[in-house]
Amino acid sequence: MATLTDSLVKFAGAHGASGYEDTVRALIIREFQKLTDTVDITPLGSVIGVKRAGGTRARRPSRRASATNAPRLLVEAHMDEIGLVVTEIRDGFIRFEEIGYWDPRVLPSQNVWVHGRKTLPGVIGSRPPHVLTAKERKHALTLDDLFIDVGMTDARARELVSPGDMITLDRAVIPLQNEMCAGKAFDNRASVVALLEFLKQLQNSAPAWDIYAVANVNEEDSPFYVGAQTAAYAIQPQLALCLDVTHAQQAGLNDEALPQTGQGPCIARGANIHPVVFEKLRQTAQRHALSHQITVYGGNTETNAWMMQTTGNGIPTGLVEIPLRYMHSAVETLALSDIQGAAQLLSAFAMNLNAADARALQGETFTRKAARQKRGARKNAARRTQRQR
Amino acid sequence: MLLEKLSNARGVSGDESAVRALIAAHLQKHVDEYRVDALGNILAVKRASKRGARAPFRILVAAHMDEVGFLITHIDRDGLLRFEKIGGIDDRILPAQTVLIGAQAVPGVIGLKPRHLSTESERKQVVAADALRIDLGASGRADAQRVITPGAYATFATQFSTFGDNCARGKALDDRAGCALLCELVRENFPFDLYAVFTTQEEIGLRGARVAGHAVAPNAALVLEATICDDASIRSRARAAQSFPPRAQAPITQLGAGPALTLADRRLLAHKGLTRAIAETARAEKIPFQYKQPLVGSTDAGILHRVRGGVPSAVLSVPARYIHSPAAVISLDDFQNALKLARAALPKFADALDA
Amino acid sequence: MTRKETQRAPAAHFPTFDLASASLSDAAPSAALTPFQALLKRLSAAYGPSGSEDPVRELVRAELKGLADQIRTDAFGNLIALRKGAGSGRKKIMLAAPLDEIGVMVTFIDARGFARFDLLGAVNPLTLLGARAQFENGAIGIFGRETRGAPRAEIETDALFLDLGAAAADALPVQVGAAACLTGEFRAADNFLYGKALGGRASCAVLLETWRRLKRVAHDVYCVFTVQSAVGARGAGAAAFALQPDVAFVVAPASAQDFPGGNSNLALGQGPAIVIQDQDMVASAAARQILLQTARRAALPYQIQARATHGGDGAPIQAAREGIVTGALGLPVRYLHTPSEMAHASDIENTIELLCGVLSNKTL
Repeated sequence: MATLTDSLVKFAGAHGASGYEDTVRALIIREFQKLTDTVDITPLGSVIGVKRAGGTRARRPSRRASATNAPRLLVEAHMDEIGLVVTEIRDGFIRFEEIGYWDPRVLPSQNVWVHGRKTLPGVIGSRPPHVLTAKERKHALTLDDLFIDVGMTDARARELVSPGDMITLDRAVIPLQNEMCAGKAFDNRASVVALLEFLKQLQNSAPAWDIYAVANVNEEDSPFYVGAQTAAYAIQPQLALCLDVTHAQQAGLNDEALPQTGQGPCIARGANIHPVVFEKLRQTAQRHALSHQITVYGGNTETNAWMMQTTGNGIPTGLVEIPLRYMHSAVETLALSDIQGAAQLLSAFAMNLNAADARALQGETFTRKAARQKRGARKNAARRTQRQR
Repeated sequence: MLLEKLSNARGVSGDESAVRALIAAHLQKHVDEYRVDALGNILAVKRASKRGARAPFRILVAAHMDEVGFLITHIDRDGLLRFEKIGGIDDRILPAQTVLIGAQAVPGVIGLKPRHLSTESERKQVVAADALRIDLGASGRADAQRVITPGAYATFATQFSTFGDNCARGKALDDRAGCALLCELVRENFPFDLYAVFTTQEEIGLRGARVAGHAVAPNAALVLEATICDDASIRSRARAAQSFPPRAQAPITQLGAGPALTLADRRLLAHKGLTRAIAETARAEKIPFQYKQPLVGSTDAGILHRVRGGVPSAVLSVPARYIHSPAAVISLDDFQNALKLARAALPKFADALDA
Repeated sequence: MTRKETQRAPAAHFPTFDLASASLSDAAPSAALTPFQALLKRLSAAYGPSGSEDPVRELVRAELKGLADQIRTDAFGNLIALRKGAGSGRKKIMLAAPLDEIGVMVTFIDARGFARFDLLGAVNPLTLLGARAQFENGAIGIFGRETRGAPRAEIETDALFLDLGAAAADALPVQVGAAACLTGEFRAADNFLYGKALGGRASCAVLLETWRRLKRVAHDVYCVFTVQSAVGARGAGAAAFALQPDVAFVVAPASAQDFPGGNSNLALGQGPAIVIQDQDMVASAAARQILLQTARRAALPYQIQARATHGGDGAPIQAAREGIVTGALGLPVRYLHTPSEMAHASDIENTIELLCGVLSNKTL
């Protein structure tokens, strides 16, 4: 678990909000180069690492044509985190807008990094309780009430910070009891870590399918899930798996229908998920005695799976989620065993894929000619048996 | 009657397999080929009866197989089932409904605390769906788990019947009426390639249509739907005819006034040339029709017209009272006229686009 | 002076009026419109609510004469013009601006000829009171409101109707399904320009003028005048799917609320807004960089739009096929989506200069 913790510290500690993923992309490219055969970048900045079927380190093929003609498995995790963006500097204080979806109530008094000409430490300020009226203290703060103090004069701040600069949380990973930890950006760096662990577990094996590992841009700030949609369009896989996080039982949300941290990754089912893919994931977990939970979604899973499924001519899609408490805050909390569990489930799944699975995913087909030939063949067989009598 | 079988078949958005099997069996007698794609759509083709030197015109005609219903999300300790609504369903029609769950059609009821035991103020409140439960008569969670798993779908338990003046009532007429029309259309021979597409997941976001349109890449598209008919909620015909009716009293469509032609809805500004061609065909063939009130509702055409480089699209609907409820009502005259009109208008599409 | 003399011509600095020949639009003593302002006036006045863009499309097509190597209209109705590039290793650039405008569509006509309607695009019903609607055939309607019962402060579309001054339903010059745009005459008051649909139409003019100024560039440039932008950016994605450009830049109006009690950080006269994010997309980093660097190198004023207020044509273009690097420029406009959208001449000029700078860049 130690290396997993190091990996989580490294990736959760990287700073890359939706549309500003450069640093995270660079880290991932380095990892993919060690773990896959070829590494490509899509026009929008998603990273695709391909591990050829049969473990052969084949020559570099184009993104779409498989050198081995094997079926393609796409496994993806979005690499962006939610963040903030500078809108203006007023009297030396920085005003901001959200990138992605924040509850403003988790922002006051948080430490941040302002990524301007220099990376500046700052704090999200608010007025001290001593000067607030009772009435004011009952009113939840909105983004417009908040500002960032970088401890500089207006002139100095303007030299180093401009509208459009990215702001991210400054939070190191905190170890908690029972191999749990808390930090920022576990949504979705925990899945990035699981994706890399999945690739490591495949290093000495030879899956029958081509594996396309994808670190996608902009899941958090795009109603179109544009990073995943366009990467899936380029790859046109036979099967796509999405790795994300989901809400777990937590303080203030004790619903027994929700999954729990530490009980294994969640396998999703519902309209967004291909029934054959769901069954195979579940059977894999059961056969390998892997702890897992089931999540049920009537419609939009609110992950990259939603748009990957309806990309191009349609893609059979599955979703594996790591249970997470306090999503979209500086204290997102999870169990490390769930990251390990997700990686193990995916590698067992990928190792078990064969040609028959590719056929099972193709739907039923019918042609009048073939049906006629079948009927003709049956008639001939019947006549032959009759003649033999 | 195929319409009856289709109305009774059970397929909520997310699991349309039973409806698909019924339609596939019918298609095998009439089409050249079909395949089922990753979303569960049936993409069937019946090629043009006469094939000339040029590539034939391709028309995609679509109807969606899915119906609104419920998804069982969790089994409570006491054996009652928690559920999520699939598709737009008004919470107020739920109390005292009967449902059938899963492939085995296990019966259940949505119960509401009786009047004797509720307070005056409670009776004024709408109970939200997440506060309701489906009761199987199970003694507890383990007992319910014998017959049901979370992830199973439930439908209204309505059985189709004809009644009144050539009317029909049943569940899921949105859009099994459209599916029935399309099943009839594939019996014909046309001078163009007919792509009969039975889509999935329309009710939760026009999802099947998106990939079907991309795969088929047609020259034009026609969507066959059942649409809102609210003429019964207008207090009286006299009131509707008076001056200054508020918009809420202007009917979206009227039962018995013929199939409804879409000018625009919330997601589509219908192709003017195709829509005009359908209207002109109706007048020439003396088939009654009406215009659906603009900018209401949405259909698969809302996404079909935007796929690839854009697809000129039109929508023709059977007016249906009480859609998205356990029992919708249609006029079988409207249904027959919709079939006549689609059959006569489709061959005019190619010329309508050249104009 | 004698009485007679005092009754002679007024003092020299007042203009003389000849009531017989003066028209209201010529009443202002300022100079006649420049050719570019005249273009803006023609574009602003042109009819083109979402879905009924034919008249404004034909106007733009006429303006493109001599500027493009190829002009065509796609299945959706987008107008696509191509100017081929001269360089080797040239890229395919797509520029987009919206042709359509917000409006209303007739949904029901009652026995007396009053027309009920619904909205095309983000029309604020508050702005309709006292306003007029204009149909394709020239018919004009006045927006009226049910006054019985509803308090003055609440305005819902359901309580409004159009009065076309007809005696009865069968005398009405329009039918159910007819679309109308708002009316709002174009005016140029020094550097402040206003009129109905000016935001979108000025964006179209930016593309036209950019082409007028740049005779040849290294790259293939497609100018796409999109349809149905106001009702959900419906046309843009189809155009991008067909063209498959290497990079795309959208020019569209952005809400400037630098007026009393206004709520935005964009102002008129401060330059075009380089978009970081809008409601539906985060602009591609590479495109943001191109725009920022070009503006800085040419010392052009610019603003930054980072608020996720409205969406636009950018998102569906960016999501086409395998993804297209997409950037956007917001033309600051006060009173967006009202009959009197107001832009600043210097912002239009600086947007043109910025685009010229982008296109002139040999290595994109």
